[in-house]
Amino acid sequence: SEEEGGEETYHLVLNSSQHPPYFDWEPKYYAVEEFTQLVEERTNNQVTFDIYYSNQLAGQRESADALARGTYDMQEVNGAFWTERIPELYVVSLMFWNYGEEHTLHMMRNTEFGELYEQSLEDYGIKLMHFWPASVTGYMSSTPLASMSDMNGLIMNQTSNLAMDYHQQVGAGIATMPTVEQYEGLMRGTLDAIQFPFYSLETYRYVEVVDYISLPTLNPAISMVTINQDSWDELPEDIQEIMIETSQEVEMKAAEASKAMTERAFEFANENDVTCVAMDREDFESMRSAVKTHLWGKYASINERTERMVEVLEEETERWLEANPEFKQYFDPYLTDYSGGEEDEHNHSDDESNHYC
Amino acid sequence: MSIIIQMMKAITIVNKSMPWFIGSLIAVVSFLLALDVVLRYFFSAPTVWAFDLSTWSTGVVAFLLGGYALAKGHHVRVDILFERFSERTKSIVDVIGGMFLLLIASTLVVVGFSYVIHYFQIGATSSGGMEMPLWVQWLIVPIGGLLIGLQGLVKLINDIAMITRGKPLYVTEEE
Amino acid sequence: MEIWIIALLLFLSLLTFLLLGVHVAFALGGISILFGLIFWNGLPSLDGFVLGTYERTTQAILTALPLYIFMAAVLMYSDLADDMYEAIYRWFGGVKGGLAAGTSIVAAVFASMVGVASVATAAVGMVARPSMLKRKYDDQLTLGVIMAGGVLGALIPPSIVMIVYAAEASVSAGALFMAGIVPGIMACLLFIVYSLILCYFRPEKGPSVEVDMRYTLREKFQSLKSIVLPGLVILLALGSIYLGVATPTEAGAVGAVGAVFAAGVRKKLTFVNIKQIFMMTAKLCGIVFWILIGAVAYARIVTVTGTGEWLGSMITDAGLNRWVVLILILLFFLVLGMFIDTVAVLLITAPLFLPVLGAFDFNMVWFGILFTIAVCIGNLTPPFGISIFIMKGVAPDIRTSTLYRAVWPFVFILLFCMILVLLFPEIAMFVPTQMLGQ
Ligand code: NA
Ligand code: NA
Repeated sequence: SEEEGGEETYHLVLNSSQHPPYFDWEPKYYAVEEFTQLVEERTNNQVTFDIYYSNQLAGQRESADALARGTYDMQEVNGAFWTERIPELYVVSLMFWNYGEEHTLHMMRNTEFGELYEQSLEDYGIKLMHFWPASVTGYMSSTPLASMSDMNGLIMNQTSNLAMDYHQQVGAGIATMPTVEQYEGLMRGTLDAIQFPFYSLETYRYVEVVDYISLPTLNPAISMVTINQDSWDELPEDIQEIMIETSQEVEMKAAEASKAMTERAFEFANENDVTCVAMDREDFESMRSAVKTHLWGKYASINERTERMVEVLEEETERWLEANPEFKQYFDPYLTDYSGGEEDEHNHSDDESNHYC
Repeated sequence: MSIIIQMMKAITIVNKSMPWFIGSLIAVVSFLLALDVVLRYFFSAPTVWAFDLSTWSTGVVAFLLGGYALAKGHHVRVDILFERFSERTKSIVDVIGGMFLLLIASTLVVVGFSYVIHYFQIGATSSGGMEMPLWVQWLIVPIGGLLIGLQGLVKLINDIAMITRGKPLYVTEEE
Repeated sequence: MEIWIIALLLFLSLLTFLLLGVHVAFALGGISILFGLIFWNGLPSLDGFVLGTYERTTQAILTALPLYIFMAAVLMYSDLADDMYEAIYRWFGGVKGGLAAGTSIVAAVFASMVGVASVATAAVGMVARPSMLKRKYDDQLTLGVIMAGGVLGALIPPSIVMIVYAAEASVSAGALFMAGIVPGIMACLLFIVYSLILCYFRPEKGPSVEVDMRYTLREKFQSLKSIVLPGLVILLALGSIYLGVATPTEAGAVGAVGAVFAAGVRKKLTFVNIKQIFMMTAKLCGIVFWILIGAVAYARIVTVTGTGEWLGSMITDAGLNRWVVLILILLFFLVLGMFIDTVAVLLITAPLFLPVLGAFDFNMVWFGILFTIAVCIGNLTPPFGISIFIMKGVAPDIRTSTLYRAVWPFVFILLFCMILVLLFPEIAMFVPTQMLGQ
């Protein structure tokens, strides 16, 4: 910070683990570009930002430490990359933990679950600003994945210790490959399937190397924008308020954008002959219970906080589903016995069929 | 004086023994990765740690060989002007380089060691499949810094001896 | 401080210390730490340096480096590589410059395996140079052919550079791969043509076997036996990539194991040979990784001081004709590529350049190929050319000035390729258009 004409100014450096957004309707655009622009405007440029995309200032794993030690002020990242250092953050990668953007933000913002998540960041000297939902994530593959048994013998890209455990349980082989090599791996058949956001069909052109997508496992995947605790404490209260308000605002916009992005991903898949494979309901239920046993169970066993987070997740999700019964059918459009949803109330999309797979 | 020479000798011997360790490591990693390919392709049952081990090993290779390359005089320089300098001027240039090196090495040692302690305290674990403690993985940073930094001191002492006395204290670069 | 002063200090200090003869790795790293302390947040910038160092050296795409270097060292010290050269020599030795042409192909094949230029340069440099010098080839030509062939790894798929560009520009990596094939082969052919013409007019640079010394057909076929083992090793590595059995990184391990096996079959795994193999591997890895550690720190300082963005914005803010902008951007990559890794230049300037190029309606796959050629050139150009430094590591007896002179003809050939692709986009776009209908 420096004095300028009596009023202190603050220059914040933000490192993003993603490449720059291509479109101004992407959730990432709201979370990073619009957020910084609005804060600059609303503080009359008392706060200004410098944004560096594509891990230019620190790698995605190491960025937790670079941020915590004040190498720069802010970081955009998916919590999954910080789990070596802050294992609680793995929760955002737990398959089937969430039911859409509303549920995700409800859990994060209104429950003890979200409090515990933020505490784990605070313990590391990092403050959460806002989340940005990044549309649904699921399996993209070269063979149809309609059930757990279809995974037997497939080679999947490995993303974390926890996911690996589960995938081995269902008989899949693991190939660990950097994200940059995934495209090639799928192209040459070194990989049969990856678990990745569906928008990458378009942005990373995975449409050219996969033939199938199936029931999404993260609904949606979420990333976040964070700030170094000391950088935050240094800001005067009125500026902090402006930033918090702006964070809330862009979080809501990003959530809407995330839904639109999901719609677009399915449309894009459809136009380009990537088939969404519907799953049998029984298969889905047994898959979900296997995930809970192996994945959620292992996550809960990490420490007291993760144990509590899983408890709260189960309780609060049940409570939320009681209050929002239409979401009980959240996964139905991806299942074989789905009838088209005439009497289906939940508003997944505006078009009449509502049938993803 | 002789104790300094003994120290210089000891540091140089440690660094010069590195190829045996690193060469064996690369050979073992090659074998494990190749085995992993076979297990995956023919049996769909690859190991979960081979890849993680190989990326970390690359870090081991990188950090631990800096001192070796220095002990053997392998590090690269642009010699367009350098080759025309007198021996004394060459040593002056290398003192400048030695200062840069000490800055790099001490940063690696001090900051690297602070991360080793930090990861030990929070119990951080690598996520790639090996589930190795992060502090063990990070040990290569201060150790690598120490290896190249100490070798840098050896060279610095020699260069200062060159400037002041016209000959090095202890010749490191031969076999 | 004014940004242009920082920019000037940053480039001039590197130039000065490099020219004085300070070790490249230490000059890059030391300058980066000092500038970081002054212009980037003081002490916390040291965390940035250390974290970046660890990240870079444990980055998955660099895992290939020690593996391929080890494989090449085994091939070299078990004489497998020289046997292969003997065969090439017996068949093509009658042509002046024939061995140089052969090396261009070997380097391009090696380069095509991995997407990282430094790997191919180190591996081919190690095996090809002694064999060519032994057969009286001019050192400067030998060095040029090896370094130039090695950088084609970025242009001939698979290519990490293209994958990084694909993500930045949201284009298909597959389309880029296809678009790189023809320019890559074209560049390799031009290297060959250059070597042949040069040696035709100046036979002392690449002498042919004298007429009465020519090998008989029988001797030629005999030599093919010695190609079997090294050929199998390379086929094993290449084949495992293209058949989808292994990733390019793993293929390095497969090749290394194959090479060790082949050396064992030839009974070459003696104590002395193993020691040489380990020392060669350790030497090259030590040199290359410490230069990379310095280079990545320096690139980060160019980024965080805003120097790169400031220079780039001068182009985008000037309101020029679309073709002028395109050419200025390419020149920008070429000039900054003299000092830092051209891929780092892309990351710095992507938010600035790519939308502008998109708005001007340029085909971004085509531009990706132009960019990739700029990366190839940047690897070669003095004062900071990673290929030059690796080559110097492979053969410390060579003067830097010889290496600088050796790269120029090939830099011009690559520039010529860039101009051809600029004028005739079909050279790049024909294959992807046919295959993908784009
Ligand atoms: Na390649
Ligand atoms: Na260069």
